[in-house]
Amino acid sequence: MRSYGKEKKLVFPYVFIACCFFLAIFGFCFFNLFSQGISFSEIPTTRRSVNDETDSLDHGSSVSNIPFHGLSWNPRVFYLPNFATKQQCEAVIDMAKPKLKPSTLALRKGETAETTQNYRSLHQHTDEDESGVLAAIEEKIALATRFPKDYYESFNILRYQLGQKYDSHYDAFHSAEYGPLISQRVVTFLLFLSSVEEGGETMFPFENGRNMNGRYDYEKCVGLKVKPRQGDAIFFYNLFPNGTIDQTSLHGSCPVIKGEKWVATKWIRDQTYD
Amino acid sequence: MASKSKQHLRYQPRKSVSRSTQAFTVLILLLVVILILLGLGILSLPNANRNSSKTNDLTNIVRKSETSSGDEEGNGERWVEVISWEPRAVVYHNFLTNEECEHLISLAKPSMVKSTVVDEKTGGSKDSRVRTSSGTFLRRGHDEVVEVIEKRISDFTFIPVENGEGLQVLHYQVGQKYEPHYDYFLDEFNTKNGGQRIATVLMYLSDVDDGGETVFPAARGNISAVPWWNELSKCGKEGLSVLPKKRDALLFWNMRPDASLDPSSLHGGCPVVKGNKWSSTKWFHVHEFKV
Repeated sequence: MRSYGKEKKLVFPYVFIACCFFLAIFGFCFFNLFSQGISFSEIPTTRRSVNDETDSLDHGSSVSNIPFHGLSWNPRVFYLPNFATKQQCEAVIDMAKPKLKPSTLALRKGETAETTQNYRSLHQHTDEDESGVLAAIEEKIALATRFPKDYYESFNILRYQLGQKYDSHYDAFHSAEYGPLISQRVVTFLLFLSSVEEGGETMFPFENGRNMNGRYDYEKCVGLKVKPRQGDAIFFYNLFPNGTIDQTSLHGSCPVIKGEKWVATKWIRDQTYD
Repeated sequence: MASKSKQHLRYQPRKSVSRSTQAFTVLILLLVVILILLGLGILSLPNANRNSSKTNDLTNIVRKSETSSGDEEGNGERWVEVISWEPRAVVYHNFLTNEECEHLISLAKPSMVKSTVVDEKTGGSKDSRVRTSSGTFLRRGHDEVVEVIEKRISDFTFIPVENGEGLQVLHYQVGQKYEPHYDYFLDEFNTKNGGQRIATVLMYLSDVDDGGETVFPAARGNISAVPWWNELSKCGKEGLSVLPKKRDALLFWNMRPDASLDPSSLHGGCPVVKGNKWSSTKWFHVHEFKV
């Protein structure tokens, strides 16, 4: 009988130690989950007063902040989760659908219209949009990027269907290829109007200097990839702070493997642009 | 027979107890191992901030709490206000915490000296009546708190930390000021390290009872349209002005987006009329600034 009692007592320390260990691990995991959730920096936007004349139903309640996350410093890429609402995205798509036409690009030597036709796009002027959705998005772009609207090109709405892509390219103009420049594209802003089931990522093959030493196949889908999610946005700098072209800003759109991709592009110039 | 029977009984119970204990221990250990793997898995997620220290985490937690606890007047809430597009200037309200403001002041206090200005002929520094504050520099990455602040500033400006000079901390007493000037250089001497100054972040570490505004005399636009016009001192009404409010940060660009110098970025610190003014400045260059 006594020996039975002793054996039972021996079990207790194991249980106690195990429980402590379990609690410690659980706390550790929980803390990491929590700290990850706040890795974003926040740039609050302007608070609107109730009497603000620019308020409208389209804006809904006032936006208290524009969270963003730095994805890369080479090139400088910033991610804006939930930048636009689902309703805004769908409104832009509906606006663009009837007007889509084959995209035209500034042609370089040896290129023809056919060789650059990978998707369909539409230039949409904010003024033509009576619903005010494009104007609201532009307002928010100005706050997020801190470039005034006078510097913006009109929206470029793009649709990529199955297999369609945009091979790696620069948004900044190399004067050797395009001739004398009136103004340069400092920043590119991409708003993902739809999620894509598979493929369709925006890729930066030269991110942090990767793939720059040897010959890189411009059709390959490598480097930093940003998966399109409806309502999210990214913007990136095509230039260094001193105005020279950042070669790591080379980017492209990976082929759509499943689903469809809609994206609204806003190019920001370094001078007022008409 | 009897003794044999007793021995048999004793032996059997021991076996059974021993087995269940071992099995239990093994299960517990497996559970622990699985949890550890989960923990490591979380750490290895691409979004994890590997550089974050505990201090950084706590700061973020505190900041997060402040955001959610802001009152109706927005005293605790962080928000950005575009002051001007020419020059490009924005105020980030409640950028710093109270503790961070006081930390910077306490770091600077023991080594404050009379501020100087750039000698336009030699590019060196010289004494001046143009600038009558006292100040000191904190080395970039001076301590963990400074490092956290500098990273936040870098994120705010979209300019890498390496392009920034060390934090300057300034103290203005009654009557002290900084006459209007440019933060970009007109000499070649000072642009050797990092090139031209592209942007300035000015953080207000204290409230000022009267005066001490940052004024942009050459700013384009209706300067009297600001909501705080009636709170401005005489000097503050001579241009577009920003009231010095503890914890706020003013960001303005000295260069236009096309990398040309922006004359509308001319700015000054108005004389303190009543009270004390503590501020901290971070200058960014177009290239890496070697400390």
